[in-house]
Amino acid sequence: MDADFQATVRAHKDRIFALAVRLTGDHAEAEDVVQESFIKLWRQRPPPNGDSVLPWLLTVARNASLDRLRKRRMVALDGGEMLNREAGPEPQPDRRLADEEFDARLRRELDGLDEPFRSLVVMREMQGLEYAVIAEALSLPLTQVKVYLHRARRKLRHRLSEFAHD
Amino acid sequence: MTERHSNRDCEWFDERLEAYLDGDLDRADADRVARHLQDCAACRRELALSERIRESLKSSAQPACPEEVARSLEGIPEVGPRWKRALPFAAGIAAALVGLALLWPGAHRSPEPSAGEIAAARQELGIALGYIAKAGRIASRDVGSVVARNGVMAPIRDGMKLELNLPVPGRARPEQVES
Repeated sequence: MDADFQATVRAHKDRIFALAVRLTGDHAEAEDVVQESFIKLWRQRPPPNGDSVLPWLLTVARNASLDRLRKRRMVALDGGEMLNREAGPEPQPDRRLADEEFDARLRRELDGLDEPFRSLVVMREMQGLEYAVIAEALSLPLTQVKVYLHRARRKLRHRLSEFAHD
Repeated sequence: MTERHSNRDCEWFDERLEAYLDGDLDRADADRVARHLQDCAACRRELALSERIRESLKSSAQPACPEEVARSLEGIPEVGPRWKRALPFAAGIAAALVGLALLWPGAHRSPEPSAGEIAAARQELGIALGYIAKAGRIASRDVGSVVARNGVMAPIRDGMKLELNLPVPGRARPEQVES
């Protein structure tokens, strides 16, 4: 069990951390999410095994991340101000900054997507996870994952339509 | 946007663009999309935008988990077996104490034991419980710094809590003793 657990930590820690960073937008909170997720895995009886470990961890990490994000947003709203840690700079006239501007805007629009669309885009487009893993992690049928993902990409494209040029 | 939604072909394309890029369309629909793209500059721009979005997301840096987080996680399994091993040890001592108390020469003697005998038994019991508590502290000594902030100490404390229901002569209810 010890060796198995350590192998699991080594195999999945970076992926779980990257998901948590993406969803919370905060490295310190992402570290907490990683610890919380793996400790839950260690205490889980019976533990998930084989191909179920990664979806299980993704589910736990995603839930923990969204909980933290929700609490943070509530605090921010109570203070009369929304947190937007990744707010990019104002649009720059310099063409060299066009890609940076596009990337920053894309991140903001991604953060603005509702769940589960945002998690779907992060898991599939940014982390390259298999559809089956995503489906299990989000408790969605495989076909629904594809439909939602198409919808999420379409939403992003429409929101970035000003960048559609030759 | 206005240009794209100005005709039904563009709307039809817009709904299928992502599936087209994923290769999820059947042959007939894929051919129709390809034909439409040849004739519609606006939808070609949409296609290029979708590809740019995908590329940007795909190439975005994936941060690695800091080493210290990984190290603290790899230390967790060492904690588990240690406190789990301590539980049967403590339980064994407790069971022995219960048995000893029940078989104590004065425990079932009639008439009731004297106040001095009860005091002596309590003193012995206190010493034994001290040893049990010490065993618990040794077992969980390394646990605190690693996992206390993660709420793992609670089950350990619960696990180490020892309840002994010893029959106390002259009392209606058994007394509860905690280590």
